[in-house]
Amino acid sequence: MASLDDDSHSSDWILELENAILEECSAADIYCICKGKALPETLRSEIWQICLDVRDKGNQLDQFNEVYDLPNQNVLREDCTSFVAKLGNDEEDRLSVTSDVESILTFYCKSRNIPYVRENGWMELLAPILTLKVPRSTTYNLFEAIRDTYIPQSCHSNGNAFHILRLLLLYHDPELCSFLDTKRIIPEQYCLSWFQSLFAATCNLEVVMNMWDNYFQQSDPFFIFFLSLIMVVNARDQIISMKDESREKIITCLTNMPCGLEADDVSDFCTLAQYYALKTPVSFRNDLVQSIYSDSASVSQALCLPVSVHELVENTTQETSNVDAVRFFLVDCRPIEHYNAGHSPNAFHLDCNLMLQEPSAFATAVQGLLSAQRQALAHKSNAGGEHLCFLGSGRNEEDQFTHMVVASFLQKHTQYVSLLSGGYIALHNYFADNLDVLHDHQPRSCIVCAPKYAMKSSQEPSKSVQSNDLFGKISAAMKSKSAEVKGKLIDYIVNPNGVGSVQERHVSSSDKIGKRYRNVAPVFSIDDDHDNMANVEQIDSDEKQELVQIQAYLKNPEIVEHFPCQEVKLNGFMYKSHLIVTKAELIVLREIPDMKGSAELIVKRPLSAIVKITARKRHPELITFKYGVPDGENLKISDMDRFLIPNADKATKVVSDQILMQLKAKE
Amino acid sequence: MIFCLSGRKMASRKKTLLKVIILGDSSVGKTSLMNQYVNRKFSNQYKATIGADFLTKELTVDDRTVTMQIWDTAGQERFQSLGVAFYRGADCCVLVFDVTAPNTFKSLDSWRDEFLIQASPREPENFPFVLLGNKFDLEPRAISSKRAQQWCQSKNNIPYFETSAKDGLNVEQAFMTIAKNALAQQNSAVDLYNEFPDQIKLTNTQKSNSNGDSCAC
Repeated sequence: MASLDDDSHSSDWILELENAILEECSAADIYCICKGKALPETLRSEIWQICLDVRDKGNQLDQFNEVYDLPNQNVLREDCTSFVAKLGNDEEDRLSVTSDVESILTFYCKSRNIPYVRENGWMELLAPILTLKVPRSTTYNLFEAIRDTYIPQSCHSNGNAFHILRLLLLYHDPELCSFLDTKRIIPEQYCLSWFQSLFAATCNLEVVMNMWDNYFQQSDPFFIFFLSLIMVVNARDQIISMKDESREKIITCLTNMPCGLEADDVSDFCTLAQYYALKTPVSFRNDLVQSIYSDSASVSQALCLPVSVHELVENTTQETSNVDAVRFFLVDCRPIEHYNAGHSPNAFHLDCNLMLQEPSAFATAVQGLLSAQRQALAHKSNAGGEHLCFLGSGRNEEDQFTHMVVASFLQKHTQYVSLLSGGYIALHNYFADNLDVLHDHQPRSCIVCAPKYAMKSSQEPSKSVQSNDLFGKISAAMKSKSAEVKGKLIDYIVNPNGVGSVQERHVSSSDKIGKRYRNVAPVFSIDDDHDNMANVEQIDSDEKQELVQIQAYLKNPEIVEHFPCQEVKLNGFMYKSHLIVTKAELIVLREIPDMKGSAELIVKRPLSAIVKITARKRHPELITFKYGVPDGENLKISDMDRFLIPNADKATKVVSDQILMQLKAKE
Repeated sequence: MIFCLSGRKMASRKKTLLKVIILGDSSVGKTSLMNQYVNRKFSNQYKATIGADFLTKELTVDDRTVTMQIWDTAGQERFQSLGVAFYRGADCCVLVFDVTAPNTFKSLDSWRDEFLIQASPREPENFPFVLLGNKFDLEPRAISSKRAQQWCQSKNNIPYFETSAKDGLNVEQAFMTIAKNALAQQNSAVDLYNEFPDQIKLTNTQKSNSNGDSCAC
């Protein structure tokens, strides 16, 4: 690899550079002139100071009291001596250089209040700076600036910096990442010294100088991640061919990879790193890098690179002429009823439940997805991109399945896989003021809107003064509880859809309200057997319900028994209710949260309409009443109610007894 | 005319799904065991599982056809927070260790505890676990049968199998036990609420009073 600089023009840019130094200029100006090229030796120290913005720092060492009393001062002194001995200075210089190095590092420890730790990369980082032969104070300033700006703060054992590098590797080369995971090689084992010393520890001096020239001009603190990424990706064939070698051998090979770099390679190396940076979602910088400073586990446990809603939206709405830039292809993995209650207009729907229930249909759907992606790319559609961004609901209950889907793509070594941070909820919140952007948005069944929606409708009929706040709290509590139940129900979902209908669903951007349950089994088939329930519609009437006083109502002599319970709706919401059994009817009263003692009369069901009572084996307290008529061999279920009844055994017994009595009476 | 519908015909058509979770340290052979059982395939090449994976197998247990959904989790620490979400709703938990690697045996307690915390089954002390000591074909042996069995006894008599995912030793038997115990777990839970036998009573009532065509079944 040879540098492609055109020598005939070399003097021009150097002249320009010299002029720039005389005037006020910034790192950006320098980059415009040099375009990342290696700097002439005579100008290097000046330009580094400009780029690192330390020209006005003055002599910070003035504040140093020259007291060398660090807890492990002798270790530091020893290290300084042996380090300077390797630099090859003249005998007479050596002592003064050694004392300078010790002063600089001692003061750095003291001013930052951090201990000196052997092999922390400081010596290696100092070496290139020392060759500039600048005054001690300048050396200190440069050292300080490089450490502060360019060395990832969390590059210690198990630091997030390394988890981020792994995620980047997974994004660009999942196969290689999986290979290293399998070998149990984690980035810190091979790139700790790269990070700590900005490659100074592993590359020869000329390479380091050229690389740093480029680095400081770019003034991109995240560049180290991409340089390291290129190092690894570039060696992929060699690494994978070592599949039968020991882990240690592979680590050594990787660690020493930068040693092979030559001065001529540097510009190609940096260009390549820039290219990869361009092909990486930027959320990684904004979101992930924040976590470098905190040591949150989210990075270390992330399944793949996260993408922020902001980036996704910007990306899909803006045109770009750059063919290499990141373009997303959004894959909505939520269950069908969530998708039908609102989705991004650009989303391709891939139902995560399909994966579990109908693996072959899922495989077909994935093929459909890939071909839709190819088509979108061919048509240069805004919705089309190489980068697959998966979208879950943002709630753990459903997202565990979303993660399964993402994992399946990663297992197939699919490149450019990311996950939208916060899922649909985040997307919904982002558009909170302009929900029209979402297609088919149904506030009534939308997981974000529905609780608020329920609040509105319950306020209308009673017209009394109600505190939204209280209701909000209660509904939030109920929601979290219902979510839990839902999580347990979800693995019993039945999906009778054949392969054919899968494709049909994916063009569902234009699906209309009435079609919501077309061809779709009720999602919460409450028990394990499969009734013919295609006709069950979620009946949520808008009519004003009869308002009653609970205590007074219960005095009705017709009432056999009443059970406090929670009514569980298909969408998972729960309402504090009373199930009342009379001689001929089942009555549901729903408490009004802000009107103590009052309730809405939700429904009256004739006992004779009950065709089935079921409980879940894991939730014996969750009881479903199904209403309908026999239809041939099957039941034709026309409606159902579901309750969480603390005293379920008794309730079902009372209801059954009443039905029996009714039957007997008829006989 | 009503309750006959929920009678036996429905029950016989009922499809039973068993969810089985395989847990254990990285590289003890969880994926290999699953692959040997479902696909009868084995590869010597270890490959870390990304996130989680699953396979299904239909089998017959006591004349009943059941579908076993086997969830293979990643043993590597990196993915563990993702894995725990899958524990819920499991009917049986299979713990795997490597008989040649003592550390994988030592981890069993924490895997078991983690499972019980995350899955929070109704009766933790009676939840079915099965222990598999894998890589039986390899030498040298680090954990004796006796030691493994002692552990099992201390945990309310967990069944123990020494398996080899490589040559298939005991794999079939182990999974049959897993299926049986998972099924027993489901059935016992069902019995709990079936304390309202009215359904059956009603069916009988129905039969006695309607020989005519009012009931279609």
